[in-house]
Amino acid sequence: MILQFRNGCLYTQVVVIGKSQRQFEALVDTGSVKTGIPLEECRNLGLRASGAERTAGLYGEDYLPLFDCRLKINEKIFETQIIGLPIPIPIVGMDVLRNYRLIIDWKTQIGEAEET
Amino acid sequence: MNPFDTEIENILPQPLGFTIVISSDLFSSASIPRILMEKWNISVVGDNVSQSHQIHEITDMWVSLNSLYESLQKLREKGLIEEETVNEILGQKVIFEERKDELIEYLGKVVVVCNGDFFIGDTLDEARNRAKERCGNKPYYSETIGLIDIPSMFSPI
Repeated sequence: MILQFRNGCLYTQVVVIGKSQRQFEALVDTGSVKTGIPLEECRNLGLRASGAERTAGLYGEDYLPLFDCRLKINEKIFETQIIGLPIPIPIVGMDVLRNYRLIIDWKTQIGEAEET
Repeated sequence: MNPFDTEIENILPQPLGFTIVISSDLFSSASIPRILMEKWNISVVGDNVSQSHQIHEITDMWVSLNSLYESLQKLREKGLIEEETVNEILGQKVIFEERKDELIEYLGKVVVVCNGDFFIGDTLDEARNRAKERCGNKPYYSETIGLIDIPSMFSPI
């Protein structure tokens, strides 16, 4: 996983594979349990909702749809479910991040991720 | 047997496998869509049962189901989900609500409710994979047990 700082936030590249596939620059979010992409993108990629989950965050809770898909990060493939997000920012959450050892230096804005 | 219990006796079982009963005084403020009343066989009973503890549990369940229903309907309107899938997920949510007392020991774990069964895991992927082994790609409902909407780090000390 390649980490990049932009405007003080940490991002990585992730490819979401459904009927079609697309690469996203996703925010690395250790506060998010699940990885997700904007709902509209789920439709564009031909993903269909397979379930729903009650989710909660700082600003309240909601029921969000889950989509079966494959995620590709570098050469590693994850068979997983992602959340269809009501925000326009793709997020890589702890379901993916827990597979990596992250070394982050916020001061010099250098991040490294090593698969464990 | 009180009138409330008699009412429940009289209206069970229902085609969708569950029934929502709500008292008329609560009903007036709950604004239940007519379509749901018909679809889910929601019954309105008299004021004399409004003190029942059960009525409050049912009202909570209704609010929760309605919220899920509205979210799923938006997805259906966008063509992201089929109507059968909506109904299946709602059915699994009802099972979750009816039996969630059984899940207290799994605080912090993720439960996937699929085809009427509970599948527990440390993560959604784990629980979902267990469900998939048994039920294939049947639609499911998922929730973290004991989920709160404020992260614990912000809880009052």
